[in-house]
Amino acid sequence: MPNIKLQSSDGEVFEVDVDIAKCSVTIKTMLEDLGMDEDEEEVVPLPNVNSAILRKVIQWATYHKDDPPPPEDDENKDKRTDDISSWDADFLKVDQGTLYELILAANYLDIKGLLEVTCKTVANMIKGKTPEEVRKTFNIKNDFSPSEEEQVRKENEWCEEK
Amino acid sequence: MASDTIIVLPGEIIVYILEDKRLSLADIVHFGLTCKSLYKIVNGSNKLWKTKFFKRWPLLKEVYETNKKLEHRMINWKEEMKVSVTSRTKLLCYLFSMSSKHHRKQDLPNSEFKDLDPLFCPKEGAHPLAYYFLLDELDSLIKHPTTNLTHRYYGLKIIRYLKQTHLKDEWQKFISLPSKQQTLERGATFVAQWSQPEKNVSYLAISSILDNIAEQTKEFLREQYPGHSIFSVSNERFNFWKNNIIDDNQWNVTETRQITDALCEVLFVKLKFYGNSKMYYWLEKSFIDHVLETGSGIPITLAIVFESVARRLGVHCEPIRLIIHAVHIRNLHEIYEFLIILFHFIGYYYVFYFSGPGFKDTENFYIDVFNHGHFVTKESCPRVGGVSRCPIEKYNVHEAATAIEVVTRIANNLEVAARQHTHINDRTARLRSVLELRYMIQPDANIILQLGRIYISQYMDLTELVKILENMQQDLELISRGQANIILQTFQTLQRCQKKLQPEEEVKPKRRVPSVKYAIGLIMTHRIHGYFCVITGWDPRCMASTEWMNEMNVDELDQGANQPFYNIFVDDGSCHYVAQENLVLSPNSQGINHHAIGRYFYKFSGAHYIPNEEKAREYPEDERFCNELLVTYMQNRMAYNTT
Repeated sequence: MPNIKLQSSDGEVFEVDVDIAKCSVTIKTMLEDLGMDEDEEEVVPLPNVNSAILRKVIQWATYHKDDPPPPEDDENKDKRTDDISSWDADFLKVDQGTLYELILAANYLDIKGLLEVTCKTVANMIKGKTPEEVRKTFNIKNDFSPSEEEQVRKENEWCEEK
Repeated sequence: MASDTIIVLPGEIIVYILEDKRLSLADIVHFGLTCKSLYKIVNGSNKLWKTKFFKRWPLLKEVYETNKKLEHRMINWKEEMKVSVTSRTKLLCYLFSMSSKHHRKQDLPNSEFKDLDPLFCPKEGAHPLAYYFLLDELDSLIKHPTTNLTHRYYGLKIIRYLKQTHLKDEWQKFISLPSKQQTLERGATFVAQWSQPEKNVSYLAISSILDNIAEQTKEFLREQYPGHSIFSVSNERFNFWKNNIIDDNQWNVTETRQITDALCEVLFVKLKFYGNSKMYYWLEKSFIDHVLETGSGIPITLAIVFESVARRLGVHCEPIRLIIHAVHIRNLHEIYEFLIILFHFIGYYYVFYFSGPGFKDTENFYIDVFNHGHFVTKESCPRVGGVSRCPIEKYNVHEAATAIEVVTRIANNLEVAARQHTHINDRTARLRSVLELRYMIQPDANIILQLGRIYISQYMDLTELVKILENMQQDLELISRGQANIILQTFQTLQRCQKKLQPEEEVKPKRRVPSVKYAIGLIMTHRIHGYFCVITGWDPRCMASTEWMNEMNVDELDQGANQPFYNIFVDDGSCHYVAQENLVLSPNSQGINHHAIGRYFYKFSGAHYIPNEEKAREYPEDERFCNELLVTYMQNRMAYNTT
């Protein structure tokens, strides 16, 4: 299997199987557009991803290399499974900072599967919480004044059904 | 570290996270209430709200896709969601309060539902699609297997009201269309929708089945006559024929025959459509959706199917009604046989007009849709025993029926069917529904009189009918004003009596007495007739009138009238008043098939019915007694099985 080299924002170089690297649509198009020959010793720079995150991304992609490709169109989004596999759940036992960086990296590298599972993890943290609990969970600073807060709460009261 | 907070994520990723189908409406709103920037993201994304809207109410997708009113409207999906949620909440609130208000009424006149109008009538300021929001809510409520039976019972009543109110508006639109656009299948769809409110009958679905039959006919035609000129016709023309009644045949005589032969082959041989003479008065055979699903119909519905498909293929047909008179009937058996033949002949036949040069002298073809599409001519016309007159003797002179006339005819058939219907379940409500349909098509004082009879038999308030009659009085063109006036006066008198008859105070709770062996909600069988039934009320002794007791031979019972009597709902949909000695306790797990079960019970336990709040208040000691009785019954049965 031919390998390619990926360079993180902080200069570290990772040698990765081309097929694994190609789970990132961004890398895949880059290779195709630039006509990069797989034999060449060229390095692909990834200025938006640091080495700690890139290492994790490669770890995830290696584990999932044989997954079937995710469905393309929006309609099929409903069909995606709800649950997160236990391997992914373990893999994503990281601090929130890392989780967000993984999301950003998955978004930048265009890795649909990783974006989905990381976003699902965040969605799970939102589910069933009051605004105050959400703030606590995500460390969000409340910048509404008490009167503003009261007003927006009133405006959205209709959503509190049953 | 700054990246520790979720705010580092770009708005579109946050929206993507929130689109997750497991996050509810409240979840995303709560998330947006945490700080200003997230509030902006959540409320600024129309796409997010749209996703949530259809994830929550997937069945509304079709409504939005097909509703013409929306084409030029920019939809604010958060607002849309708000309207949908709030109108549904109000609807449920209304529904849940119905039992306490109406539990003593057999049925409810439309005027009782007027409070709902602002929730769904655009005329009263409701959202243009509010009607669909409410239907969607009720539909999922009644379909849910664990729905409270009382809520389901009243939910169905609301569905009927909503659909029929909506259809009245749609009917007005239909009859004001240019007559060329009043197609028979559209008219027939009205009847099917009106008469089956619990079913989702859509014109689009019906129309696409008809399209499909037309396509199959074309396929068949292609095999036989590949050079037929139908294969050089543009899609626009096919589309035009689909939605407009065409003035004339689009083909010459030979090619027309080829198409109708192919259509008969596809319809009557391949798809096995047939006239079902034995079920002439089954209500369902008058409903076009049912006819298309099952392939069996009565002449008029089969004729509509035939015409609709033929028109899609450029063949001009007209529905004609032919009648044979004069018969002598001797006994019942002959009446039955005769009915079949008679209706066979009063059926709708079809006539083609071949106009233009060379066709003037051509006789029209009549197609007997009830008889596998056989072509009938003056010579080949079948004759009924003893009657030598050919029903198409005066061929070429019949006036074609319009869609409105055809719908009127179906409605009249339905009325006869509803009156003769052997299924007792919900019979009065069906008859009422048919009469109200007839009234919509042809506002007529006579129908009001018949409706009045039903209202009176169901102890329903006559105010609404009185109002209609009063309005009729103002209509100076109405010939039957004198008649309407007499009916009006009768109703007004009856209304005063009704008020006296219906005491407003609550019924006194019934305390149990030792002689009463059974209780509300128990499933029984009748010792003589063998039917299953459920107890809905009791009296310590027979409380019926003397006439009733004489008629029923109550004194021939072992214990006569001096024993407890029970009100029961029978499995066939009827209601009876029976003596205790004729009832046997027989709990079963099937339950009782009776349309009004939800009026008194909210749940089926698997062995008996549990009374709703209103019934329980009337018989406060019954539930405990019933449970104890069932425990003893089960113990005895187990003991019996083990020995």
